[in-house]
Amino acid sequence: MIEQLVQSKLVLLGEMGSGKTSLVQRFVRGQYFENQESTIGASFFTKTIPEKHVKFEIWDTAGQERYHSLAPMYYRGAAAAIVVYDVTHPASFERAKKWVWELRQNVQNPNLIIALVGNKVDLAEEARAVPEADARTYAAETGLLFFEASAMTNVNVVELFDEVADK
Amino acid sequence: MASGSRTAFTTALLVDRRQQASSAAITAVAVDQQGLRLYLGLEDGVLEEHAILHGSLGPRASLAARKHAAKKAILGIHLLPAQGLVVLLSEDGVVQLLDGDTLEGRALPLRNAVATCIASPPGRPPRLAVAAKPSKKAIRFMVFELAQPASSAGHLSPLQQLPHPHLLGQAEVPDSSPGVHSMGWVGGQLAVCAGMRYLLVSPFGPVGSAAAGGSGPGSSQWRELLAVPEELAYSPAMLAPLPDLGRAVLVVGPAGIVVDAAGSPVGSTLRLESLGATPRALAASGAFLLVVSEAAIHVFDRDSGAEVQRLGFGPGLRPAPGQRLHAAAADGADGSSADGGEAGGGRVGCVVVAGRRLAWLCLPVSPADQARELLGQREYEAALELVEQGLRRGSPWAQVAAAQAALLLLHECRFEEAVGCLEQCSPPTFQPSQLFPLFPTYTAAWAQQVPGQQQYWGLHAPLPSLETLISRKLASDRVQYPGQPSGDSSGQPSPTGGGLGLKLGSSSRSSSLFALESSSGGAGSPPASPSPTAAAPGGSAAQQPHGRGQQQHAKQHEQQTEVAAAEHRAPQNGALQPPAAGEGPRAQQQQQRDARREHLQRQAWEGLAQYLFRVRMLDGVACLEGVDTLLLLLLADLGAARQVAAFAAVPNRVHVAAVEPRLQAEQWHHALATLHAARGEADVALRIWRQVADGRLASPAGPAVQAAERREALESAAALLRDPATCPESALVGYLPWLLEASQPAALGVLTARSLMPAAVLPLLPPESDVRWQYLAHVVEAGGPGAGPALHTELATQLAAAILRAQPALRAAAPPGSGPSPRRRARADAGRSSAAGRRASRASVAELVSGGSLEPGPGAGAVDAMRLRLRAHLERSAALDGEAVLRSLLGTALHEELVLGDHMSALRVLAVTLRDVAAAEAYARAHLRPADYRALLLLVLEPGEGLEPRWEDACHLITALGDHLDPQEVLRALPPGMPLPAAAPVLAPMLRDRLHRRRVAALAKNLHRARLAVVAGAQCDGEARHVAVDEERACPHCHLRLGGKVFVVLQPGMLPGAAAGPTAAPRPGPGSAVAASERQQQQQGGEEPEGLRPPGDDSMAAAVRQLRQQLASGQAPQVMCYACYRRLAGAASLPSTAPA
Repeated sequence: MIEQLVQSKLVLLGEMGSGKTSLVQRFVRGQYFENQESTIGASFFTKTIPEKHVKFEIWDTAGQERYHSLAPMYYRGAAAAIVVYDVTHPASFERAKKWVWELRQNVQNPNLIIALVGNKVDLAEEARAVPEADARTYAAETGLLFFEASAMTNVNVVELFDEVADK
Repeated sequence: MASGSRTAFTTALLVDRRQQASSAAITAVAVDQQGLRLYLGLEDGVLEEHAILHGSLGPRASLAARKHAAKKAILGIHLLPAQGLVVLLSEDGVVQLLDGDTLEGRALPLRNAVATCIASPPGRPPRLAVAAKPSKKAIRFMVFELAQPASSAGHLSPLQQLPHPHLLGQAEVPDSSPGVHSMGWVGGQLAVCAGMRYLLVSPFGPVGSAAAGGSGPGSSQWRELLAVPEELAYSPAMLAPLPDLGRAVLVVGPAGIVVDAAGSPVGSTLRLESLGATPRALAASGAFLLVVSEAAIHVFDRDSGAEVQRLGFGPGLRPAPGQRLHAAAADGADGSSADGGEAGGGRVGCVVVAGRRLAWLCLPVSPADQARELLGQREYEAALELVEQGLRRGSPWAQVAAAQAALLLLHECRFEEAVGCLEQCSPPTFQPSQLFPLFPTYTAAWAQQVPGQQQYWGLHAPLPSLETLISRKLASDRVQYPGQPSGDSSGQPSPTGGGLGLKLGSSSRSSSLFALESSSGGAGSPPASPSPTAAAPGGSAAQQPHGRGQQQHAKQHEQQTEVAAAEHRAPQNGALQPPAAGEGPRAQQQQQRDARREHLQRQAWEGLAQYLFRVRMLDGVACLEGVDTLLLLLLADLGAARQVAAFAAVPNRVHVAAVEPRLQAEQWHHALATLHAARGEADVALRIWRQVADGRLASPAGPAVQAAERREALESAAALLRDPATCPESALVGYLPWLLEASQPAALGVLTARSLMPAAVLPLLPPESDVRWQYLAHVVEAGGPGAGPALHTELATQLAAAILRAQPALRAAAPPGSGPSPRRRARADAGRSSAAGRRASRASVAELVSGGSLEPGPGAGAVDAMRLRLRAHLERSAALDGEAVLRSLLGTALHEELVLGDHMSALRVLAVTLRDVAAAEAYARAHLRPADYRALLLLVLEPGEGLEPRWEDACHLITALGDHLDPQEVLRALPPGMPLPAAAPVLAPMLRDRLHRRRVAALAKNLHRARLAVVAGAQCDGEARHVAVDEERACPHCHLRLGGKVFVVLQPGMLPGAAAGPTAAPRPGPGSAVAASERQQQQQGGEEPEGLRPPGDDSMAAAVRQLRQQLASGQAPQVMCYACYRRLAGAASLPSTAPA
């Protein structure tokens, strides 16, 4: 039997430099670029996970504050949002919390799946600034999926999107 | 003036008003779709119409009309050529409709208009959207339908012909911005740029999704898409509609966001940051978006978002910073057709760009020209994208471009991509023979037949030989990367492989025949190792396998060059040798170059072989002989023995003479023989196959491969001999002895597959061979004209001889009675492994003699099968010479065969010689009359001199055939002085059998008697019911003669009431209706359940009573006329019944 693909809009939000584009590039193309250019506006990707019958339409938004006002265009109608922070950068974690709050406020979809992702976990041993327990506790309290991932070392990237697809 | 990788547009300065002293600044522009009319709106309210003349020096404008159309600056111009309308928006907020010819017109009944846009829905009048600013805090959007006035008989002035705007809908949006910068239709809604906000307005009803920022009255008719943040406000907000997609591009700082009719973003953001200047105007044209900045006109591919071209304004013409710029494309929504271009999804029209006093015309470049330019720049990726688009649309230039790209790619040794392009070309565009120059040695014979080298776009040089191409490539790599081993791109598809190149990969996988994997050897496939002839330098080029003929040819051409010299040092067989000690890096580099050369060569062979194999099947391929020959030689170069054999086996036009030396050198004899066979040269093919099968021609492979080759050769030869269309009978006769020697089954297959004259064949078949009788059996069973009595007889004798050869023990006849009895034999056989077969054989004898199955039973041996066949033939054939056959059988142990035809002899052999009384019994049942069964019994009782009577078998026969045998025969045969105890074993069974028969007979007799009694009783009953009615008989009730009247017969017991007991049931007959009616009455709860009710009339009641009594007493049947019966029945309230 042929099952139809479910199209699912997924938006990535987070502080500038937290690694949103790297995560998407790693997931979609299996690539990682050391010096990833800063995103302007938003980038659009698609990725199909045949075994889960899901086709992700991924909007990778710009993290710069000046593009903040554009974000509602992208997260409107989203089925899932991945809020990314940098585990070595505490301010990005605080910004992630604000994104979560904004999503809760503005997205009318009650089934919106939000995943909180601590990126750059490959640097955690040397420069972790956001304890995993804190982030995990916050995610549990606010009902978020939680992952610590690394786009560079490809840790938990596929698992993250698989989990979102499962949900 | 253009820069960038691609020329999608060309620009030309069209209007230069700098020298006009009183010239007002340009404030609005418009151009028609074909680029023939330019309209300029000036700041003094003047509208100018310019004719655009396209000459050899480029386009130029000529003022065609000038009209003071407005009191203030003209801010917007829209053209509706289908309606002959020009729509003007002026700074004083007036919107005018002008006649396109006279520029006369009238204003719409509205004020404070700040923006306009036009849409032309299919099948509907055009719609004009007007944004007005009725107050400082609101914008009102109105949509008018511009319907043409109804035509009347009289002549209408241009003013009267102008459409009357009809308001379709409106919406009001609270907004405090000074005005609307730009506005465009996005589907059925309006995308609006007001101040630094982008809105989506739906004048006809609520906006699709919930309002983002609007609230209050009218909020459902508009939605704020986004507000440009202050940080990004350095760039003016503006939008450009993409009418064919129903989308719009919104400029937000350095980003161009494409949104759809729902306001949702679509695709990635256009990165405008690379402009290096502030975008000032936008215009969409076809697949491109033109962004005008003070620095240049930037052409973006709207699908990929990449900037593909940058057009300069020209020296000294660059607009001053901050100057307002205008851009307008021919309204794609105006319904007019576009002839100019076709790239992308939309219609490419002209775009006019204007500053204060200058106007430029951007003319679209056709996709073909773009592709040509890109190919000229070797920008294959972009070019092939265009080619793919053209191919999808069926544009004729696309195939030319693909062929051109293929030739250029071949020159760059990008063989996979080149083949991908070639496969897009039909033979009329690109003949595969155009590749012949790559292989001059292989294709020399067809050099004159090759069509002239097509120039296409003239971007390529004539194709040299493949070796030259590769040498040049290696040389250029060395120049470009002197310190590198030039292996960076070896084997890796270039990035352009994503387009046409990748298709090659997929298509090549689809070809199973030419999936040239490395393991292409297989059975009969010599490995890619050097063949013996490779070491022979004196051989011709074509004789050198693995493309070394080509290599040699190229080396002779380039001996003067370093590349060729290096190549010359390369090992002849292509195998790489490790560098000698002390040669150092130079040797390593040489080795790497050799490896690269070999890789490129193989890539070319593979790709071109796949291409040739696919293209050769298309119609219109010229010089197919050369193509097929080249293909086969390329496969040989690749060492693909299996593919060569497969290709040789399919219908092809390979020139055998051209490939024969090569195939011989490779020792691919099978392929060569196949080619000869396909050309009708059966003798040559058979000779080769014979030599291979005999081992005189063998490949240098291992014994297993050689054995497989021999087997294959034998099968192929047999297949060829079987086919009368390709192999004449003379050839068959010539090769039959060899085939008989090599494989008798194969020979038999040939003989039975063809209709040959036995007289010609039989002399070739040795008498001792099984093939002879098998062939005879085939001939006899086929029943042809040659199947005469002699063949029937010979078949029997040959078959008997074959049986005796197979089982020599049958040569000597066994003495009568020497064979074991069946039971003893069965006991003896029980312990042997072949017991099943023997039993089957014995059983089959009985079946045979009784006319049973002729098929050998399960487990029967070959001899049994042959014997069955012989017996069947002896039984069936009426043409054979019996005496001759018997002579051949006499003295042998083939008793079963001997007996056929002489019943007494048969019985004797079966019963006495073979002691097989069961077979004898079966034979007797099948062939003798019952009266003659006694002969069999006598044979058993008196088997002959020196033989004892077989009482046991006699008893068996008495039991089996007892109906026709007299036991006294046995008793009489008993010796007179035989003691009773000795005779008991014989007598007891017989007596038991007799007794049993007697009892059975008595039982049957009594049963018959019982049945006779029953039948007699039934007969008496029937006679008792018999009624004889003649003309004199009268009805007992009315006393009238029955005569010819209808009458009724009532049998005793037919009336329930008349019956004495419950057994009296009505019977079918004339009275059955009466009985049925009575039953019905009983079921209805009638008061008179028993028989006929007494009628009210006394006489009738008495008659009924009497009738009932008569019937109840079992007297004779009562006969009455039908009228009386009706009366009686009516008196008894019964329905009438059918008369007798």
